[in-house]
Amino acid sequence: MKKIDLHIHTHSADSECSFDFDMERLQEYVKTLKIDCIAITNHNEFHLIQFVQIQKALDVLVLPGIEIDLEGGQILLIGPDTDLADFDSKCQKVTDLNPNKRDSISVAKLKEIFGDLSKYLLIPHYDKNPAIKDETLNALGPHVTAGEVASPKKFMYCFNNDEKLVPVYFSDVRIEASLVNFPARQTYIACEELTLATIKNCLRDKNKVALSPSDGNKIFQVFDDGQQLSTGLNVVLGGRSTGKSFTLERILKVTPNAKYIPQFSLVARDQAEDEQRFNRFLNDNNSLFSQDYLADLKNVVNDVLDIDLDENLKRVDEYLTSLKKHANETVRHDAFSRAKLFNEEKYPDTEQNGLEELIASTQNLIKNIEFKSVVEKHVSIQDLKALIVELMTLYGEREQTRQKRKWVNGLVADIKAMLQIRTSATTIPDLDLYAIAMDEIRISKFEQLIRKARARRELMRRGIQGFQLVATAGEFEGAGQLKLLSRLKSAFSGAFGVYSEPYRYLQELRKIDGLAVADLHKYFVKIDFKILNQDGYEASGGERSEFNLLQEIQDALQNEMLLIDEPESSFDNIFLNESVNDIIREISKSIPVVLVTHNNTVGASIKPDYLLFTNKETDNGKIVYRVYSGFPTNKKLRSVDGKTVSTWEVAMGCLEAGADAYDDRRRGYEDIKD
Amino acid sequence: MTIGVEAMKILKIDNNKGFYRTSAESEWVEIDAIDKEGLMAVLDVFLNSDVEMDSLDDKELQNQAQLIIYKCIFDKLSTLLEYKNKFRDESDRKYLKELKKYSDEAISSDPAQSD
Repeated sequence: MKKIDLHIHTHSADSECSFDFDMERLQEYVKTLKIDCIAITNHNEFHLIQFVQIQKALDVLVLPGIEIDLEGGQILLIGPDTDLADFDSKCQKVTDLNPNKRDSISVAKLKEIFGDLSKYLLIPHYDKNPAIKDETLNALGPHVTAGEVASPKKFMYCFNNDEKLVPVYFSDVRIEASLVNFPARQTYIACEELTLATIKNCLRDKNKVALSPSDGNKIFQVFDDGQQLSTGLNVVLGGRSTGKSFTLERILKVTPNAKYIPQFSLVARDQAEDEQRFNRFLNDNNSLFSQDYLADLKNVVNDVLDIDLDENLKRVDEYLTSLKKHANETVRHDAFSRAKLFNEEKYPDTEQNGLEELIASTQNLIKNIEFKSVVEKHVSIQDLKALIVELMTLYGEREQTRQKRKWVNGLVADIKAMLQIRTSATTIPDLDLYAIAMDEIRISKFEQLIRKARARRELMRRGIQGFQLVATAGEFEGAGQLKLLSRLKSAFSGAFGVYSEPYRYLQELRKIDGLAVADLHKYFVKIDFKILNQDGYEASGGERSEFNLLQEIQDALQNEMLLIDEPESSFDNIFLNESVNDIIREISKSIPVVLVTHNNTVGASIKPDYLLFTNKETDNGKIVYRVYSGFPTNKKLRSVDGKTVSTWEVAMGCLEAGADAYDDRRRGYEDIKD
Repeated sequence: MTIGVEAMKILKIDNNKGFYRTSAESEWVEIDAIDKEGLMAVLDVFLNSDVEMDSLDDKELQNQAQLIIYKCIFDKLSTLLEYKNKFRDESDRKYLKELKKYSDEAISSDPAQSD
């Protein structure tokens, strides 16, 4: 197997992320990581002179390449090292097309510049940002067989999925003097002699790529010193202060987007604070449910938001006063005030929403293919078409009347205004009594609806990992709860004083500084989430921590790796054995998991894929922290500097307090049993 | 000004008074007695037939209220004349395409029609 890294940066033209290339670091990187072939792939540029210098300085195959912004994604284009002048002139065209480094070129342009793409190796950002688009991949056709991924997890995902391209995992590293820890991100290919052609050949076949030289994809290298990890479940054993947590932190440093659950992190320290934190966690995690449940309420609140009943009342009052006045002052009436249009009212605007919805529904019935036979069993499509024709004709007629009424309303308003200017009689203001009556009805319905929505009841119940998540609706019990929900400093006591009168409450909420109008609906009904244990009682502090742990582990599926430090420090063995071990094993099928433990329930029962043993040793009077590792079935675990320890002794020493103690305990249990 | 040729007159000025009517058979009514229903009826006649309206250019109206009303209606209808066809035209109406499609389908698949 040969180890390749075809994504290396040695120059940046972008002033924002420029760096100074360091040849010695590159030599050291290639030597330390034992790499057999590299490609130099700078962003939209190729430097011929520097490339030739690199070729001379290294005794491995160095291929010329360029990383190109292509239709919103990025792609590596790697050429043969036979005609560098030609490659240089083509890359220069890419550079010229993208002077500010922020644009993309099209596939057509790429083909125009490089001609026959089959001469090159093309590797797009695949499961890695910025990923190449599907349509771009299609346009590139057979020229792309492999795609770059961002993590061992993604490598495994592509590897195991027949639809996906052959995955490759490269460093994407910038070689500069300040580079301290070299990335262990390379890919092994099954190849005897390295040339562009043989590499291309390997990258057509998933069986010819791997994360490790001899163990396929079961393990991958994590540190530049050669330390490996399993792509499944790793257990780190070792005595106190031997570097277990340190090892986890090292892994965390080289793995962006790893999920780390530190020791004791989920244990309750302060009962009240823990409860509040847990409730917030539940609310945040279930905000989609609340959002969904409250969506209709949001529409209703929006609908009544602009209704001002006080203003309506004032306008009715003004209207009645002027009406009485107008009736009483007959002597002041003149030709203007006697004209019929003087007190004419406008036609109310009648919207056609109901008819539009009916037409849309009928259209759905006609167009639906999935349930066509059911529909036709009850009503013929012919009848539906006749119905829709009639409804649409009616719509057209009504719409024309509506337009005419609008025109008349405009004319009436103009005439009234001119008559009213000339008269000395009292004018009666326009008042849409229909709209005012509708406002009253809408508020009354709104209040009824809010009262019903506030009635205490269970909205949802579902099982999660042995617990029950229950959502209930009910009333807010105090201004403090409203404040907590808002996360604002504003006072809610004024609003809460009229909580039982939804319309007035809404008016008060609107006066609160910082409260977004779009969020007002959240303050009418309180949605609570509770976690119940297996017996149906609300979870205790300890059980909440257990639930938290299971959720955290479950959430880790979104991450590249899961790191857990001594879960036994916070949880009891029964829980660990019955719940945690299973879920960790399951998760490790999708992402690499590293679990630090010195507990036999976790360490022994969980059946790890790979063991790491940390040990503090003295070499020639100097303290050395060593990590031994290997498959649990190996008789010996091996350190990167070639030292070994017995796997059996490690297991006995770390998990059973030594072989003698284990035998003693076993005999003790047998005595009790008898 | 007279609008239309051999058309029904809907607004007239007679003896310094303004009048309207909504059909050839109906009585002339003084313009200050018009209400919104009357305006709607005038609009319908205007849209559906060729009409004539007496202009205020060479005539006078004694009653100032009648003058205001007559002038407003006359001006607004005159403006409407320019896009009278558009107002009547249903080509930009919603559902027109669908209406045509479903009407055609209903006819073509009706056995009674195809016989």
